[in-house]
Amino acid sequence: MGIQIALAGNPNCGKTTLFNALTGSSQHVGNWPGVTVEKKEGRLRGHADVTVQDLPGVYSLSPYTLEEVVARDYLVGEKPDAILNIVDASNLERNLYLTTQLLELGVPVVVALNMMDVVRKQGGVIDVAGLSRALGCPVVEISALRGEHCVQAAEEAIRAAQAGQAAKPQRFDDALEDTLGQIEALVSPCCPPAQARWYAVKYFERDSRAKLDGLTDAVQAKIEAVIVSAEDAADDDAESLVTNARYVRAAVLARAAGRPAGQHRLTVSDRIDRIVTSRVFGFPIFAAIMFLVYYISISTVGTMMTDWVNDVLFGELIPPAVEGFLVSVGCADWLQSLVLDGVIGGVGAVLGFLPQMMVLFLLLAFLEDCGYMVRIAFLMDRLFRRFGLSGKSFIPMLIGMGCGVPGIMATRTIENERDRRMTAITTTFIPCGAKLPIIALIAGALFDGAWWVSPSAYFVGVAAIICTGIILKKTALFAGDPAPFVMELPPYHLPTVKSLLIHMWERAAAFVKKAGTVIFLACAAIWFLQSFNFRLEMVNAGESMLAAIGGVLAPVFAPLGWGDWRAAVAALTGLVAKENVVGTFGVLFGFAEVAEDGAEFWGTMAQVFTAASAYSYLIFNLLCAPCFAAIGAVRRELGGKWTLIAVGYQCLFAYAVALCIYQYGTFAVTRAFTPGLAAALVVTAAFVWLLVRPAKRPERKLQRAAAAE
Amino acid sequence: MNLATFLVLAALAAAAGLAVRSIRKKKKSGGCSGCCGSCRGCH
Repeated sequence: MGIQIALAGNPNCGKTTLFNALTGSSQHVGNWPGVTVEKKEGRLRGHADVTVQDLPGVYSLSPYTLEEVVARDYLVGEKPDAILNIVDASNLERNLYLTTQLLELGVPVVVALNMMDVVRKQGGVIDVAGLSRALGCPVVEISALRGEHCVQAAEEAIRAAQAGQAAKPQRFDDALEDTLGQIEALVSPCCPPAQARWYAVKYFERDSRAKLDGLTDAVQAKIEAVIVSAEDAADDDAESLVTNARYVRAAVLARAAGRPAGQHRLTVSDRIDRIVTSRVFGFPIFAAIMFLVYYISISTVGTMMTDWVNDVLFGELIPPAVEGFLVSVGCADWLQSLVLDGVIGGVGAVLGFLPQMMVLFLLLAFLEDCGYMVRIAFLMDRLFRRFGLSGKSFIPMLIGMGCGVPGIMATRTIENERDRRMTAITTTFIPCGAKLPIIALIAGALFDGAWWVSPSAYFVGVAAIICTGIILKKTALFAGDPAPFVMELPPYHLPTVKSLLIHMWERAAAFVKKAGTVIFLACAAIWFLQSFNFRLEMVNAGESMLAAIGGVLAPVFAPLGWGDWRAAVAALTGLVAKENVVGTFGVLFGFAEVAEDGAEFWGTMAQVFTAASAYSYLIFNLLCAPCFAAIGAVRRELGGKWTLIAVGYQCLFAYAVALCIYQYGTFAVTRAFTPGLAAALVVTAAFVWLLVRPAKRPERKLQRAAAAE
Repeated sequence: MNLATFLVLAALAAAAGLAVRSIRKKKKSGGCSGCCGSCRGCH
């Protein structure tokens, strides 16, 4: 029978590094059923019968976060044969908090003391043998990064599993031990002996997820009486009593085991963070970095390559060559039109922006890999907290910069249901990868590559999130205090060129694949609808089925400045995939016909849009309902009713903002007072009122109560 | 319909079929196309 070893430890303690060292390429990566938390298991090298399970990094086994619940359910429910607890030796006290909990599970535990090189560098010393005696379990020094003693740690865990000797729990103060002993006596008939201590602690903490079958109401009442008595005696709640006791025990263990280093020296990461996350410089640096990212990728470096792709590849090379071939073999005219105008026109228009997107992917990969991206969540927490959200809500938005689907799924990590809903509604305001071609198209075609257009798309998204947070938090549905936010900032490090290029390549390949599948099919469908009428006769675009459909939609968007049926249809096709907006423009504006000189294509588009209507179009497509895949993700997370609310809100918000942009932009040029401008003024007034109106209860109740006193 | 038209149409149909198959495969795998480049979103 095989041996199961679970790797448990704090986030960033080196667990995954150790896992990779122990299992090599034999790992299998998946998700824990029903949750988006990574499940990694693999065969231990050299031991075909030993499976290593990498658990999510957790600070404790309390059931507050998904990771904690998953780790705990596995350790208690599936009971591995041994736990290899990776402890970051440079943060001993914090890591030992979890260790005290693991020792209560009734499973053999081996502690792997990682990052000892860091401790020695800081001038610290750890008495490994003493720590082992105090914990009552083997302790092995390792360096997971260097692969030192990892195998010894695994073999120690195998020996512990084979011996089957459960670890001894740590002892707390006498009063607490007495209380736990009483509860243990009450629960032990209903649980395995080795887990009696664990269940005693959980029942004392009133942990609702730890339930034993067979515990009668009478016994539960006795347990509750014991708990109440202990709380009265200590004048504190049960959970705090245990938490404090653990911290005290962890501190005692850490002090006894280690001589702390001399004065803690600031690392390079600490010094950088002092500036990058400071109250004064943090936001300006963040704004400057994101501006540069979008400016470099869309307006400068990326544009040079995109011009070549549009003008040469999809202008002078591919369309003439394909047309020549099709004519030479005698292909039917309508099929030539499908291939050239539909497929090449549509897909080519989207692929034309690939160079800009690759540059953007490269820069975003650098920011992510070097460690700066997570600092943005920390910065945003300070800002978001003023508007009722927390930085935890920004992490899905960071993920949403790539794709909205995983961004929305990442909202599962937000415990507060209201905040989770609000985050799911607002995550797609941040431009995802699919919206980048729209940004690049508008910036390039209609603003002549103006430097401010592409960065503004990102900042408008952030502003939309903040405004939505303020507006929704003042409603009864979303009112409430923001959740606390604790996060660990990993140290900065210079990413390798190889990893950056791999990330860039993966995303670029996925983009090309999407162009060859979803966009290809959508463009073929668009070509068909714009080439035939309802009697299936081949007609001009203006008499086609698509024009008829677009003609119904177009008046809705006329106040936004783009009442042309082609723009309306393109926005609609964006629901399938946002890149489709560009693909549809490519088909409807004849990208393949005029792409010998890309400027002609832009010129054709410029006849339909003014500067104000172009920017209005851009913002509408950025803020309105996301693609069907993202809407599906919202439905899976929030259910049907909230999905309708989310989509409705996003479309309404996008419409209102786009209306104001177009009407004010046009007024700035024409100085003419129109009904549209009047509507924009009303919308603005309503918007301002929603932002500044007093908050709903419970804040108002508290204020009234305070005033009455 | 001449032979060339038929062959080009068949090629397009095959491409469309592959595209549909790819999309259905992606749906079965939970919607991941790798395009977000951020596996932290799902795990």
